[in-house]
Amino acid sequence: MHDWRSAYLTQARSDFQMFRLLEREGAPLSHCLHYLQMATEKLSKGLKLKPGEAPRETVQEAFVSFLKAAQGMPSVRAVNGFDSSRRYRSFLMSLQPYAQQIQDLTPRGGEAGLRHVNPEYPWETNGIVMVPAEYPFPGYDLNRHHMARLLSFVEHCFLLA
Amino acid sequence: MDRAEVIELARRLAKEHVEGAPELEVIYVFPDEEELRMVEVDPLIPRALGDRVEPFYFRADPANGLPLLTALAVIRPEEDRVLRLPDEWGAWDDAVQLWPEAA
Repeated sequence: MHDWRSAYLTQARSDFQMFRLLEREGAPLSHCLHYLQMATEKLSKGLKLKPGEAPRETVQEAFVSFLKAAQGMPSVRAVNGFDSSRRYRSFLMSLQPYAQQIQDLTPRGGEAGLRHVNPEYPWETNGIVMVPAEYPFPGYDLNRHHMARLLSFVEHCFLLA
Repeated sequence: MDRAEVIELARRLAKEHVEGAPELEVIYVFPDEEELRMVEVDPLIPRALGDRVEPFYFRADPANGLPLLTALAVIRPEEDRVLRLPDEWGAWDDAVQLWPEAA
């Protein structure tokens, strides 16, 4: 039986598995990024829940903050296989811009959402309505070395559950 | 753990954190016998979108020197002593400042 923290982290892991499946199957990048964004959001939200505690209203954008907090946690360093604090910190620092990119994909509501590049809802740029499934998402190359590092970090953090 | 042991544990962790992240401006612990509650003030973190301190919780990890559930929040300097604390943490005046160390 799950508590809320465990439930969030389990769903995050499932979202991440869906991301991997879509990536393997060559799905449009928008769908891959959508699942990746959801996985990182639920991972971060889950880790903001104290074991046994019910969720309260929290902000969505917590992934970048999580990377920062993770710098100080020996348990996160250990599950990611680092003996050296300095190397671990350097590793996390190198991931920050990519974590920000993923966090920035979070869909926004209201007027701002109509112009916001995101993997879920159409938006408008210079009078042109864009469709996520047809958009190339420049800068979000999942095969880049640092993005691969970030994905590995996320995968290892599921071991914290 | 008693209060003094918790503060000592937090002090050791804070020392490691500052060595690895010299940009940290202030580190606090809110002493509690069952949970390690820490706040780090970091100018390189995004601004909080809410009005409260929202820590990340990490399970006790005795193998890596952390025998207590650890709650760690990172906030910006302008949020220091401004954001609301989690209900059970008490008030900002209950915090013990670990860094910078008192002269």
